[in-house]
Amino acid sequence: MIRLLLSILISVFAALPVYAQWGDPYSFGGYLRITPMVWKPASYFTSDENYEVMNIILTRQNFRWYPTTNFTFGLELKSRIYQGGSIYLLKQTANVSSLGASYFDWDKNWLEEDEVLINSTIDRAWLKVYFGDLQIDLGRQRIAWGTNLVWNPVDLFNPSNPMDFTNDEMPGTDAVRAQYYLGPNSKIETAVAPQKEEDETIAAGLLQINLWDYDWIFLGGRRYQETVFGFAWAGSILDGGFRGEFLYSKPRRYLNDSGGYLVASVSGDYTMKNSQYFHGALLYNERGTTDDAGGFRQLLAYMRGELTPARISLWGEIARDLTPLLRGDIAMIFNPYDNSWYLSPNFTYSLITDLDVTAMALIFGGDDGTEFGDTGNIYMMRFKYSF
Amino acid sequence: MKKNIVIAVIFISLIIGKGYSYAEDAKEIVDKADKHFRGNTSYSEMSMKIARPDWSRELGMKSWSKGRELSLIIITEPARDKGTAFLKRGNEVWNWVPRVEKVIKIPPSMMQQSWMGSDFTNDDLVKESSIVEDYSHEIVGDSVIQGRECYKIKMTPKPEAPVVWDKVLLWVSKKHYLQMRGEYYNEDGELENTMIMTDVKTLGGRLIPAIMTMIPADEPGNKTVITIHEMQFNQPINDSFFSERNMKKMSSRI
Repeated sequence: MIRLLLSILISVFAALPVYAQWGDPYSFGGYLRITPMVWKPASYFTSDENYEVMNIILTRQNFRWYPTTNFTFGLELKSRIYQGGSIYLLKQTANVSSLGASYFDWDKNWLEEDEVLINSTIDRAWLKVYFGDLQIDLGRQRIAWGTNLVWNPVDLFNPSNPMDFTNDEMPGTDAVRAQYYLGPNSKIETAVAPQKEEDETIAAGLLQINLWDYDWIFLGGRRYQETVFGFAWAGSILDGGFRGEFLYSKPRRYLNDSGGYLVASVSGDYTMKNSQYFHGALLYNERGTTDDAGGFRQLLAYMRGELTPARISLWGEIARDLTPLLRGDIAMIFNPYDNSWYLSPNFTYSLITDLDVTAMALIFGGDDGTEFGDTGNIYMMRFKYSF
Repeated sequence: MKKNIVIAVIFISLIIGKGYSYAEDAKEIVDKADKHFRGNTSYSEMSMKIARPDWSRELGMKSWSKGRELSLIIITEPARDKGTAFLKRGNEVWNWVPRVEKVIKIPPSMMQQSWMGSDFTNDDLVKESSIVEDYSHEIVGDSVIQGRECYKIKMTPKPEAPVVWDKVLLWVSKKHYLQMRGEYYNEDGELENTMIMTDVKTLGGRLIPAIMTMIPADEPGNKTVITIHEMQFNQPINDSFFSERNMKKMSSRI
């Protein structure tokens, strides 16, 4: 096992000088990340004082090839070694964040044993073609719609989960996307992401304009079995960021008696000159519950592709450069209905250029059956070397 | 008596007249220095080294600008930040974050941040404020800096200007309008930062200082050094170069 592990790591590093010699029109980069962690499950899962020790070793390699000014090809590979007692649960948790299902299965398990899982994924594989003001993107890509920094109701193609600690990058989707630029910050865009079930295909378009020092986005389309309309904005009030997204969804086919519903998120942030950063956000899900939001309700939210099972979620975050090399960040999500909460303090220190170490905790609080009450706590260190 | 009054009036009018023409000249000098350093358009490859007594970090970047309204900066190193880009159009700034593949519209408050405690803020890098338009100028003396005769110019921010300084002293060489030294005073009137320009050489067909060193007054051993490795002036750049699309495209080709 150790030999296999070493051979993977050596192959990654041995290849680096070769890539480094590539001149234009290629580029190569990525990182190696090692994340040892301790998971203390909530009493819901176990009656014992039980700790799980786990580790994720992740390498990511990003290739770019741009043979002419009109083409760019990108390929990004992600390989992970999971070690520990509950690795399958961990992998499942990690995949929960990848709500946007991919059409192609480019995920391969090289080794599956009781406490070891080695997996590789082609995370991105796209071709970008530029014709004047028109840009076409084809392949596995990220289509990041939305203006908020935490919750993006209008991110129809690959919404991300702010609690996902296993992925640095956001999930991608297999899609065709066309963007026609009307101006420097204005465009019309359409994208189609086919799904295995034809009637679940995601297809949508948007108009983005820049007016009165604000970015405005209007969009509409179909996602899974819903018809959706929405708008978003990004601008500032009194030098602070002010962003918002509204999405109205109407189920198309089944559950004829269920009406449309609104998901919205509004956020603001402000940075002081001493680097002190404040960030607050609110997420409203009209279909969310005002009862305890754990257990089955959480599963339902996942199956529906909702950002949250709760009617309202609140986000608060403060961050600061404690020293130039050490940044502290504390983020919290609170469900005001079932009074459960999630708290994530993390401290990142730049050891040397391109090597960061992060001490991080994911602390969940609340009664059994609440949104955050059944998870337990996770404590981890993260070593990340970028190349 | 009458003669004395006439002489006094002439003398006073000379002083006032001279003072007035100095004020005009001061702005003109700063304008020339600003234009000399920026050109109508410019492209540069720079590195920024943050030096502290017990550590240092270096940032590489490519930068394009057109007038004061348009600029695009892409980080080329370290690997951790590579591809991060800033686009400025007028008063608005957007940030491309490759890791999340997202364009984030940056509020003005975020521009006051600095990268890893450097003595330059993001605002300095995208040149939000103008040394010509955001200040009133006055020549307050002459000095010789690194063997070059310089005007010493006092710059006082205009009330509405997006400037954090109480005043700035700028030394501009009389011959080539090179900015040779700057002193930045905070709201309490204390010297906070000193900028020293060195290594004057021809880059992009112009004589410019290739090294800018910012030294904070109250932190001995700290400094931030910007070195210009390559520079081009007045190459034609289309306005559409400074667009969201191009920011993303250029970022993926660094």
